Amino acid sequence: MKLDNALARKVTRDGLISVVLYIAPIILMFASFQIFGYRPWEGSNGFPFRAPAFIEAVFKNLSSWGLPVIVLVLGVIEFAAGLYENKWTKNERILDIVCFVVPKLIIRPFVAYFGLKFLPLVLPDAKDAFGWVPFWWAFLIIAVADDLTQYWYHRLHHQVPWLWRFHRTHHSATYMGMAMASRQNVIYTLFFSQTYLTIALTYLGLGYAALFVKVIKSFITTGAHSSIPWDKPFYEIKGLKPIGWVLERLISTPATHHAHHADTSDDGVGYYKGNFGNMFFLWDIIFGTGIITRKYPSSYGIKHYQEEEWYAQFMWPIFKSKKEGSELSHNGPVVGDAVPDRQEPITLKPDITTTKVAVPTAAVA
Amino acid sequence: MLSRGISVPILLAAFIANRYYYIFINMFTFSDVVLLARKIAVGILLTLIPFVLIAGGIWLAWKLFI
Repeated sequence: MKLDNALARKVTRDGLISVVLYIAPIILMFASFQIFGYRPWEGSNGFPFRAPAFIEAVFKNLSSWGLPVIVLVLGVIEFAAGLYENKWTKNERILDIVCFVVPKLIIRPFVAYFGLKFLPLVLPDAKDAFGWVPFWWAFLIIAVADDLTQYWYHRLHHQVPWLWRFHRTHHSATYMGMAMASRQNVIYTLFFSQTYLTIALTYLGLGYAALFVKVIKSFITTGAHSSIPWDKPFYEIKGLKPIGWVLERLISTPATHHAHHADTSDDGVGYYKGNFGNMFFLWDIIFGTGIITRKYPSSYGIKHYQEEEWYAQFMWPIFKSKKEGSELSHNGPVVGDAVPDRQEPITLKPDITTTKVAVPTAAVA
Repeated sequence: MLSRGISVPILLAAFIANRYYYIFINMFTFSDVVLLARKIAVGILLTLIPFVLIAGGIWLAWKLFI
């Protein structure tokens, strides 16, 4: 299965627009320096931003242990409230828990090696080279860089058929909740491009802003996966509607992201072929890959899910599924994220209750 | 005859191999290695392109300013 030409052209066009989006904050930053005669690299950065110590401590703790604890507590509440219904089978339960715990243990050493050993080796003189970049500009640069990169990483795993199976685990569950945010194949998580990009920019001196972006992004993405429809009041209360209009175009909400996890696009609510945004939904608006309905899908998952074993979903292609015909089995089909077209065989059985037999008149005679 | 200390791990290994043989015999074929290499290459490109744009962009603009 290859990309069709129209899709390849659209990916190329959107890729070129992304180049402009990546460098836009830098152009704006230097334009502001020009206008205000500001030269922060000369030591004129008289107001280097430092968050109040209390706020800084909150963000540091959230970044290290606080967010996993919040997700865990909210996840337990979701479970207790029966939001997983009876769909949380033993296999799904093990998969969700393994996906929540294991990456936290194995990805940190990779990231630490990349930041502390690899980067000093390849860019020995670049450490803190851009430490002079003012906080709010660094915040904008990191927010765009991190989230736009994740948008592309995510989008390509949907639109390039041979990449889909690395992302399939995230979509296989027939329920939605906090656990979905971390439910990923380990290879998918390990090679998250935006993680390494943000670490590299941190090495160059933008790390203080990266801390705040990371925490805010985690809250938005977890909230978008959550089964708590926190966005609903923005669609129903008249005074909040203008804020809702901006919000649903700017960031991922439960309505837009749940649509991405729907098992069908045919009902006009679900849209698994788009709504790829993680923190910002703006990318979907810019590239025309999103739909906004303000409704929640009635069912989630993928139509061709075979409830593959948790280890196959977590470790594919290292471990394979035993299920025959599964995408994750040995030599399994490359289906992609689309629902395969199945030609249902048409049975041509005569209906004996209504069948009339024409009797030749000659025979009667 | 094997001593008890050696036979227990061997029996355990035999049990695991028997129970999970399917996982191990299909583990990591050559085509999987190729697939993984392509996947990692996509990841590297998606990291490298924005990094060059951003780091190069800041450096170039700064050079033009000073």
